[in-house]
Amino acid sequence: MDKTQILSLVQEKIKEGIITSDDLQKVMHEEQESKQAHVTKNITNIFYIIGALIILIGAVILTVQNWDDIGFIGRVLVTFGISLATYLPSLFLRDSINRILSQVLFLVSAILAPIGIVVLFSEFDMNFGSLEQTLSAAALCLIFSIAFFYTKRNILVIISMFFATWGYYALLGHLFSMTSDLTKLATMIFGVSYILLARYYQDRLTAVDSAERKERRSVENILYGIGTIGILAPAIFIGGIFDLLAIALIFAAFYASVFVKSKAMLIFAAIFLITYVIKITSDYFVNSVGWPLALIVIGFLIIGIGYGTLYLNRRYLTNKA
Amino acid sequence: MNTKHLPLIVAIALPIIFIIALALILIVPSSRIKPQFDFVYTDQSEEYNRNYYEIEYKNKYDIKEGKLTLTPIPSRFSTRVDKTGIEYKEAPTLYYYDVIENTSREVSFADMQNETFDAGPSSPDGYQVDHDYNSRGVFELFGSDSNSGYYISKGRGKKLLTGISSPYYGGDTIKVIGWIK
Repeated sequence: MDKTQILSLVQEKIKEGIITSDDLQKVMHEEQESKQAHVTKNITNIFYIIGALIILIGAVILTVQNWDDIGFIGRVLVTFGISLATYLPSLFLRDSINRILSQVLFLVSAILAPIGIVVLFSEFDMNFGSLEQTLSAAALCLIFSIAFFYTKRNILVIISMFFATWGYYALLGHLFSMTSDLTKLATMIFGVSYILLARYYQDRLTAVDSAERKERRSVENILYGIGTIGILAPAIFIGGIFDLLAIALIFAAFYASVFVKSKAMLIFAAIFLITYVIKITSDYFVNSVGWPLALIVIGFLIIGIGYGTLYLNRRYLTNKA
Repeated sequence: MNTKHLPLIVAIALPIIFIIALALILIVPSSRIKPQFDFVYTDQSEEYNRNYYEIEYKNKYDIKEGKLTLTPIPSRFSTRVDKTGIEYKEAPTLYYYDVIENTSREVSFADMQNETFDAGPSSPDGYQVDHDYNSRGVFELFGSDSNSGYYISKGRGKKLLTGISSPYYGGDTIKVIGWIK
């Protein structure tokens, strides 16, 4: 229904006496109030974020400048203390009005907690090696995952996944002598995990309001985006049989982006298809056709990929709420 | 079967299965490394000493008919132009590596005269000794502890010879003379 149709419908209802001018004024007034409230909320959220940044910068400067003066207790309080002081209240700020505040506080807590661990290891002259990193990352992942299951705050998914990723690589580094190809394979496996998690997250959780829905879409896109990069980037650069497998994975990403309705996945699939075309051309065709002709072909292919991506986005993804 | 949690379960299980699979492929063969034959080695190869240190050895070790022997090194093999300040020694220092105890000790040429050797390069049970930069960590991150050193290996499995320290960065400076039968 377009604007003209809506206006004629409203006009018809006014004629019939179902809608009065008072009703229209009331709707207009409510809309204005809602806009004002939204602006106020946005300003408050900006203050929360600026406040969090100031806390972090302050904590870092305080620790670095006064490392010797503040002593062991001071160093632990500035890092672990603030981390705990921001984590605990955030657990209890569960109503929707405090959604941004609690997430900002969780973020402050998540940034300061690993710094606190490093400070603690340094205080006791202990090596913060791969095993210690694995255990620290696992503990932090568990702590923030518990907070997620309790509060359902979206930022906690990203934070937990960050610590899980850290723990995963630290454990691999501790257990094995990781060659470049093994690292790429490990990254691809974790990329799959990211995508599955994004899918689970997309299916399972329902948003309270439109702002939260938008937030969840962002988290989904971040997970899908990291997952896509994690799978496609190593696949392109492993070489050998993966030169063939990579193209299948790239087109699988295009298909999956429509299936799961993820713009991030679509964009990264397009970027990696362009990268793949350039890589394969330089690896296999430059010597036979020469760079000038190769560049012309690459140029046309990139235009084609760009157009195809835009088409997929318009055709399948832009209508997504 | 309830499949609503399946993506979450697979997302968590996949990295765990990958780590277990890697452990089975990489760690299990190494746990089966049980060499039986000790070996003797010198701590620096004659070639390296001759070219970079002010030491020249008059003899090198060889295995002839299962016995440790000294073979004179012709002085013309030296690439050093300036011959001043060179210290001449009879032969490189000889070490005995106990593969069961994983320890190394200095021995004399005379001490080894009663032993029977296999010249190798592999031991009679198929092991060999190589230097490896077994740097742990991913992208040089997540733990910087390095296990570079000398390894005794067979197939995919290998074990660090903790009794031999890497003498310098980039060093491939020990030379296995022979395996004691």
